[in-house]
Amino acid sequence: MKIEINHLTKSFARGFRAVDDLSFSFSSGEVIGFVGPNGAGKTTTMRILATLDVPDSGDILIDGTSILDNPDLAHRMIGYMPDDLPDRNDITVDEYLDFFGRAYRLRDKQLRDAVESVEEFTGLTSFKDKTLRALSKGMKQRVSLARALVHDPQLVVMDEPANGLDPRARVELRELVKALAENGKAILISSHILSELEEMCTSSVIIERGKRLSTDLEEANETWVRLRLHELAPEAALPRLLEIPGVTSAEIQGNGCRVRIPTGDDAAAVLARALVERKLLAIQFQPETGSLEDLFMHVTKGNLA
Amino acid sequence: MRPNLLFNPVALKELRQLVRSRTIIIGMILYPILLTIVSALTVSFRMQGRTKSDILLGPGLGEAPFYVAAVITGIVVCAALPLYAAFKTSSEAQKEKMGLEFVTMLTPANIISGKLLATALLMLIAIGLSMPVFTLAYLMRGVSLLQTFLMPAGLFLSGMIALCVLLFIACNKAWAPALRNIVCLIVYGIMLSFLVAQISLFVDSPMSPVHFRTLSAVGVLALIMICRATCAAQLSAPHLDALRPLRKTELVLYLLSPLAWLGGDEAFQAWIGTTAIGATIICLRAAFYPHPIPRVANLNAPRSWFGRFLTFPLTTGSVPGLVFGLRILLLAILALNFDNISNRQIREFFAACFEPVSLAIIISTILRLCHAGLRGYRITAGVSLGLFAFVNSAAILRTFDLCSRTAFDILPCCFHGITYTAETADYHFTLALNLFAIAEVLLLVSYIRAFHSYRRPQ
Repeated sequence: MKIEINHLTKSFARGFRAVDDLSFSFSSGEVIGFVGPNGAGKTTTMRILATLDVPDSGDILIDGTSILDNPDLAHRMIGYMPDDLPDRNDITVDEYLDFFGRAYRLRDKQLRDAVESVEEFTGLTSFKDKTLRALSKGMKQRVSLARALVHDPQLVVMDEPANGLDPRARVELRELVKALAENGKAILISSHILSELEEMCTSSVIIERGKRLSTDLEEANETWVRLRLHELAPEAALPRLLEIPGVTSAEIQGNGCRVRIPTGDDAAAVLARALVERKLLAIQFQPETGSLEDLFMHVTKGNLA
Repeated sequence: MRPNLLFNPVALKELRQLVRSRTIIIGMILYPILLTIVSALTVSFRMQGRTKSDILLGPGLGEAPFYVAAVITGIVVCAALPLYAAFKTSSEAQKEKMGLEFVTMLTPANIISGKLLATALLMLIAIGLSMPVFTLAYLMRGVSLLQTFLMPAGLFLSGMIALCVLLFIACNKAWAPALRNIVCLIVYGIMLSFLVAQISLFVDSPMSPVHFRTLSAVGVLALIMICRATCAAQLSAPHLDALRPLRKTELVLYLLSPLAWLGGDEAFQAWIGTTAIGATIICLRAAFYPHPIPRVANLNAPRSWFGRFLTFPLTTGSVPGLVFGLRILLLAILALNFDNISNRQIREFFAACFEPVSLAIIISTILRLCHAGLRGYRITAGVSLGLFAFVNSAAILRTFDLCSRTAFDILPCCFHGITYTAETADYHFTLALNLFAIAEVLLLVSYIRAFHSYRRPQ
């Protein structure tokens, strides 16, 4: 299955353009990190994908079929997990999932199987008779994910799923996302915790003021390499490091240094060889190439829309 | 209502939530206890000072507890339960909790049907709990068997109307906050007083001719269907064709209404009433919802000109479609009865049917032709309502002889029932004919222009 977002534009009152000619595509099995500063247009894009908003122009195609012209197709194919938690506190987890299963027109055995399956997948089996009121935030996030998966969608859209979760719950969520991707689902996930996204995502889309900035980690021209040199203080090492060809800048970081070199393995190898040639014995050599956080900081300007 | 409504997931969920609601559970326990105590007290007051033979041979004791029970049941069924459902819906709509339901296969009509069904079931339970008191009142004499059955039916229908109206308010984003407003509750109280009058029509009395009951029943059913569809249209997610459920309902009513003719003269009146109600609602909707032809409808438009012509009323509805068709039908009826045009009854029917809706049709059609914005429609609707209020005030003044009779009699439109007298019959008929002619021309132009834009995009 291929999802194509083509020239999506959405404006709100007073001409505020939340999404501006946004285009990208992804396929089954891919986990796309959808990153941007607050107000960049992530949630608006996800709401359009979930058919909760209509774009001013542009289209979203699933295997070539427009979801704007066939919203039923979107409802069948997409599982949407918004950033807020389930708030129908007076029904049990089982009843909640049963309701959404029925809402997706599942009936009888098919419905029971679907509910049990998502409860098992999200680890909710032992909580299924508890009311939503009695659940912790992490468990409610699981319920939210289970609801998005109850009709076995091919595309899962997750808006800030890790928001407010404790470290253990985040790790568990990450494992669930990985398991979903292994099951062949396409996943579009937004989060502010970039280090976590980096571990889950196969690629990323960065947007700012509604416009796409970059989708490929390799697009950044330069990256940092963290170094710690044997028997050489960082202050003394800094001028010698700046002499190495390819190093554009260097700075002290903790008890080591950080040098900026062109992106790519070749540049890292050149740096390693230069250190050996200059008899600078490195006890730590850690390229930060591909850091989503680094890329994010590099391409965004911090402008709020 | 669809046959699978019983399997409506929203109804099921609402019932599950109601079962867990402490307010409902406590209410359901206290309600029959209160009903029994109050009815028993009423009977005991009635029995005071009466001998055993008076009780056995005199007029029955059942009337007082019957009406007391009816009032208590009425408060629960017509006020408490509809308000509870409306507050809940309003809260969900305002907090945008329904968004997740819109990403499922549920339609807004399913959601509203579920809420209507769940509350209707709760109303039936409340009425069921009152039935022992009603039955006991019948056994104690003083009320007829017909009254014993008609009262719960009337209460249920009134409760459904109240529920529909309150849900309509609850679903409207602009009006929903008014649900918590004291002014709104006062208006609701006034509306309830009308409902009480309506209940009395269901009770056997010389004031309620059979055809009026038929008309009331058909009107109530039409109102429930249209309110349900209108609520769904208001709740609709942006990607959906919001007016689709409304158009479907209108079409069903429109197509079924001639069947009432099979019942003879009485049913004919019911049909006239139904079509007049339908036409009024369609026109008001046209004034409040000036939507263009939806993208989905345009995409699914048939390729052939004739196919488009046939499906156009289904797609666009409102003024350019159904009302135009309705007018054509009315013309046909007039043509068929042309020989009897001097017949007073026919003239009265024509004036009664057309006069009240013509102004709304003319105004909304002109607005549509001028491509008026939403604000224009709202202002016009406000002015129309203001005019309506003014004329009703004039009618009250006239009742107390505080208004000139001549000035009052020439008031046009919507006021047929107020200003119609044997002397003004000709004036009203002529006025209705003139308005009819103006509206027909405007509608024809509007229809052609709207049809022109209904085409398959390249």
